[in-house]
Amino acid sequence: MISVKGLTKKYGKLIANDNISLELKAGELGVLLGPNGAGKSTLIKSICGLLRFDGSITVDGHDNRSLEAKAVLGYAPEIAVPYPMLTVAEHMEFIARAYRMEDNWKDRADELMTQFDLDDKRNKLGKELSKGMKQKVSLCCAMLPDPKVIILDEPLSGLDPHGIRQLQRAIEEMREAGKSVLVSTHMIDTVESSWDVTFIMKKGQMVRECRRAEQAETLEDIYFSLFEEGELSTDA
Amino acid sequence: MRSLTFLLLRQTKNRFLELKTTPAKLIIYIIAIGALAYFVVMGMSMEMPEVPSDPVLLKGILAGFFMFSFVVTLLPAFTRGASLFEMEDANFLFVAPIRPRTVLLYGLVKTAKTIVIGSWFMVFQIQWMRGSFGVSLGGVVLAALGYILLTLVCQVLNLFIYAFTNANAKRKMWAKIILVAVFMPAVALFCVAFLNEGTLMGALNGLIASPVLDFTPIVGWASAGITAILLGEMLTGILLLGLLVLAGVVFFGAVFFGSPDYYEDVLGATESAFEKVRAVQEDSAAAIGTLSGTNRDIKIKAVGIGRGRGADTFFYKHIRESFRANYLGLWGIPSIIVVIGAVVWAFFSTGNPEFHLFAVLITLSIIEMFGSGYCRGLLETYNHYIYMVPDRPFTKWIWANMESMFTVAVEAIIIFVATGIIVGAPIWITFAALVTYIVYAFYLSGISLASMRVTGTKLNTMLLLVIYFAVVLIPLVPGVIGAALVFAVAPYALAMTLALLVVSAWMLLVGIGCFALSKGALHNSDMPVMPKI
Repeated sequence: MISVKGLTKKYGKLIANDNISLELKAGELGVLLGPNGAGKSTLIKSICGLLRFDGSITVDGHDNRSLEAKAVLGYAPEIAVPYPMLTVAEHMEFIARAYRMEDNWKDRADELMTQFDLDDKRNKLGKELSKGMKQKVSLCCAMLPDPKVIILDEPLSGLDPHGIRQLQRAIEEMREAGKSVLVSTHMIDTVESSWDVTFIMKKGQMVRECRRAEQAETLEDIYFSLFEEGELSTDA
Repeated sequence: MRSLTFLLLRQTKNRFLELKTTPAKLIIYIIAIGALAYFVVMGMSMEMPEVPSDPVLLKGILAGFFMFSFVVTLLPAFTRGASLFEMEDANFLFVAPIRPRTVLLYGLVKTAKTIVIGSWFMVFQIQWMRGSFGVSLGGVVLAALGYILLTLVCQVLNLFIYAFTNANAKRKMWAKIILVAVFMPAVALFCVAFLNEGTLMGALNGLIASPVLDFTPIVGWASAGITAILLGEMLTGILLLGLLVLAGVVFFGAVFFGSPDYYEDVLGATESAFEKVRAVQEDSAAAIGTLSGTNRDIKIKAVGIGRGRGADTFFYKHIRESFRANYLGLWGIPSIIVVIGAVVWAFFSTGNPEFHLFAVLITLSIIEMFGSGYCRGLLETYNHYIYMVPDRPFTKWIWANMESMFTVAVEAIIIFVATGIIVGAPIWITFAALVTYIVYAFYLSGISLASMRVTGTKLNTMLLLVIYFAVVLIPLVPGVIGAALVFAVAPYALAMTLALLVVSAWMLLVGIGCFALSKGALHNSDMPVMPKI
């Protein structure tokens, strides 16, 4: 579903992503790990078509900048910023109309708003929402078009415990429904039970790719064996 | 105290050292200093007027400008207070074992430093001050110092008002009454003069020539004090500026000795200012929230976007957002100010109507060049939705900018028709100016899109902002040259109209070219970051 080959992204002299390649198949939950400044968000933004890059990225077999790829891709950014003058329900309507969803989008929007406790906030303006609520709106917007591929950049930051559990369930459901989910997170324990493949980055490079089926270790063990036991230092 | 001195000095030093690693900033500084030096040299080389304009007029101009600064600085006093500090100060100093009074002093010094840096623009005024009033460089520096003093006193007054009225509606009301009462003698004098003279200009002249304005607290003291010193009336000048200093000392003393527990009072303003800067500087997407929202409370009446499918949803979304953010729907406060400003200016204009219409066109074009970067269409480029919605990039760009194009067109019709009627301009010149302005807005949108296509990003840093002006202005040159030629050879009655139509046609051509060459720009560029403020 997501295929990245030889991705390099430079900001002037700084190489944010250095020849990155990864594959994420249908029905897989990919976890993107790495210390701060490793280049995870740059990689995610490149996959979502928000940055120019060298290399190739396909989503569901289409070039990531094509309309076909955009139609099957959902994305929740690291910092959720709703439109200040739109209500929560209007955010859903905006996405439904912009993605040309069928008339039954309202049922799906209601379902998502209920799932993420936004029911009583549907007429609240974007500017009136707390950080966690903004994050929930952003997640609902990403999930509303029922994309085949969904990319979540630090989706748990700001969520309350109930929200975290709901998101974990939603991710699990999407994975079971055969969708590809790529999640960047520092909260390793939240994806410990459900991950299929992990991509570990450092200083813009992919330093390890592990498939769960091939590993006996936990995700936490894999990560800390890299960064705390001398193999790689988190220092720049 | 030592730690705060260290903080001030080290931050200043690091700011200079930063220039070694950020050449873009260094270039901006060099350009700014070069421009300043150029204006000073040019200003100094200008000949003094044989008969300088009445200095009373200079006093009036200064009073008007100072009044604006006064209002802008004091308005937050009733909502969020003064922002003497930055978030890092609140986080580190407010909890540190340093006396709050010392911290307050530090905040004031820091604010003074910012005001001094911000006052450089006053030196640019040397040309008209020298050309019209015969003011020397020293006089301009004096005016800049007066501005610094006034702004500093206003900041302290802001803190004073906030500290003593915060969370107390009655005190707040009294503070407002006192502030308004301070200007009542001047307002009363203006009204009486208007009744006697019968004209606004006559009434204004009467007011600025009167000692009532001179002794109007803060604004009057500053403007009249500076003018008095420029005229060599040192005693009067020192007296008036002394009153200003005294007021600042009294307000500062009241806060310093009366309310050492002021942290809560300034924390709200600090957090609010920080949120804006953080949104704009650190996260591109957050900027859209900061810049396209409104601070007032909104009662949700109509809900829903209602129409749209695909790219045109951006347009209908903008309509909903605008009608929610502004009382007048698509038109916000800046639009109203521009329309009223143009109409008022037209009322006071005498002489050649073509010139007045042309002046309005140029002024609006400059405003539009600065303002177009903050229309909803361009702000969309800081959020990911416009890139990710599965529709053609060109179509998305057009629909995302449709609202602002429509707004500009209606604004243009109102402004030029009203101005044309008031100044008595022929209908064809009014029409040509109107068309030129609308085409210019289209041209700017095309240039913005083309800049994304060429640079791969929106022109966003300070350096690129300078380039942006060049990018906007240079393609205009052939059109302007063509217009000048037409103006020179065409019959006088039609010269201006034809010249405007020539430049419009050129801008239309360039705009269409930009759009044609930039069809896929939105899907082939980096999501931009907001320029630092």
